[in-house]
Amino acid sequence: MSSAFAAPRGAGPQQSALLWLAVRLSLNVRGAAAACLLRLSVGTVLATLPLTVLLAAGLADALPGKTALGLVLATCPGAAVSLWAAHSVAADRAATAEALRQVGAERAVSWLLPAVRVALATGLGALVGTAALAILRGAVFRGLPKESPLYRAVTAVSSGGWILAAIGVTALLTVCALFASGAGHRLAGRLRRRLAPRAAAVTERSRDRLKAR
Amino acid sequence: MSLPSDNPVLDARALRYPADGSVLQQANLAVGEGETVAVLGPARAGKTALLHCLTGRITPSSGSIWANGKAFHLFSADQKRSFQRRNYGLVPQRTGFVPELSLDQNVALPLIFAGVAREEAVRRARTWLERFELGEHVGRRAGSLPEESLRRAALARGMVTDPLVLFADEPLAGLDSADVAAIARMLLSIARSHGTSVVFFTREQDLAGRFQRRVDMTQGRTPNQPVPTAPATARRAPKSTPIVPTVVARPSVIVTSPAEQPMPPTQPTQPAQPAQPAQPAHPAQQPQPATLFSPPREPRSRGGLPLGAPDYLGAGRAEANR
Repeated sequence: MSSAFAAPRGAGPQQSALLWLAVRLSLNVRGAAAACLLRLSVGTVLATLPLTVLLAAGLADALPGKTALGLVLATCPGAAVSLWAAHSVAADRAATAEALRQVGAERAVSWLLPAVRVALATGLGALVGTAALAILRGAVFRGLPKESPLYRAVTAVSSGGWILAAIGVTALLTVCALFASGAGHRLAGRLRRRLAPRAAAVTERSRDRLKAR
Repeated sequence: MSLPSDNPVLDARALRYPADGSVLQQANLAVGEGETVAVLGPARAGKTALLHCLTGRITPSSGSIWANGKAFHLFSADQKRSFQRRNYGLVPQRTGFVPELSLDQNVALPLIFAGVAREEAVRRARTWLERFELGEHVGRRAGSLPEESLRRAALARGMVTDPLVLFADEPLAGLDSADVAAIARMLLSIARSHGTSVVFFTREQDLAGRFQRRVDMTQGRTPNQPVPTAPATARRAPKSTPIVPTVVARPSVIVTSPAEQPMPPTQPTQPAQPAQPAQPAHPAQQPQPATLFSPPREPRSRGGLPLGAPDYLGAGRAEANR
């Protein structure tokens, strides 16, 4: 084997170029992809509010079962919107990753660059949700009866608990969004093809037709 | 059908994939420097599998691939990727463009991923887009362009690194015949002027007829091609480790083809050069009978650039070609 290949070479992309690409792919989104990312952020805001309370109170070990179930149910609409949006983003993400692989990007880079915008949209939503909770917390919980389990649970949480819960919720929602727009999407497609092959074929054909237009 | 060059930049022999040979069995392909070859075959003939074998995306179960005088089939995945970035241009069947980037930025991506600075890469991409008559679209997003322009942009993206070999996997499928003819003419003209070899996979006979040579492929097989008689010398030699011809000139040279004019006798090589690490000998480097011996060629380099430094302007190779 040639010695030229044994020596390490610096022929990879420059770090500044990768950063430029990540920023460009995250901020220069338009059309349907931008709408999907907006939906993802809004869904994350809606899910963050009850989920943070759930996690914070859960960490403080001050949450009765029924209240926890109520908070889980309150998380469902936001989570559903987020998952739907992440699912919609998946095709774009896969296409971008494929385009990057075609031009010689490493597998990790081609995975990471399109994932950045999904993570950013989710992170932004979680940040807004956490800020809303921090601002509205006093006003919302003041309206609760002093004896209610939720009021007691919330007042038992320390500042550190809130911060920990906010970080945990952001991480959890980001991982979920990345999964739903990546491996989860592929898994769902595979399941759909197995369970209803004809319906899956019709969906793919109509999607191709729409893309061709 | 003309014969392949006697000094191929790409020489694939007896490729088989997978082990049972259901996709490729006994596929051979030799491509000379600057030669344009069409691999013609129906759907499911194994064209894309052959392309993936040649570019290192899949590893054949058996057979050998010699690329630019190197044993490509023995490279690791990283070495294949590195080699591919510097020497191959790829135009896949479905070329993907990043919708968030403009056309010139999309075409610049192969250069960016090969380590060229962004501004320089975009500047060169614009030059290539102008060569493919897309100069007025440079700032537009790829999604807003008609399909025919996108196909030309895909070819420009394949050529932007000034590759040794351009592989194109049915890049004009689905276009009307007038567009196909115009784009094919443009591609062949540009490839000829840059000395780039083109391997064009297609299923259209008319299109295949435009190339210098046609290789028919059916059920994973290609007809046996004549074996090159001269060792393939590396055209891109590293500055630090120059490749030295290992064949010493013989006193009597019998030229069998009128096209091969006798070259002036070359000086014996100096033994003081650093020795290359052991590399399996190219089949054509095996001892040959005197009647088949061709005079050794001067080793070529791309303007003395090291292998790690991309020479995308092609100045080095153009000089070497002269």
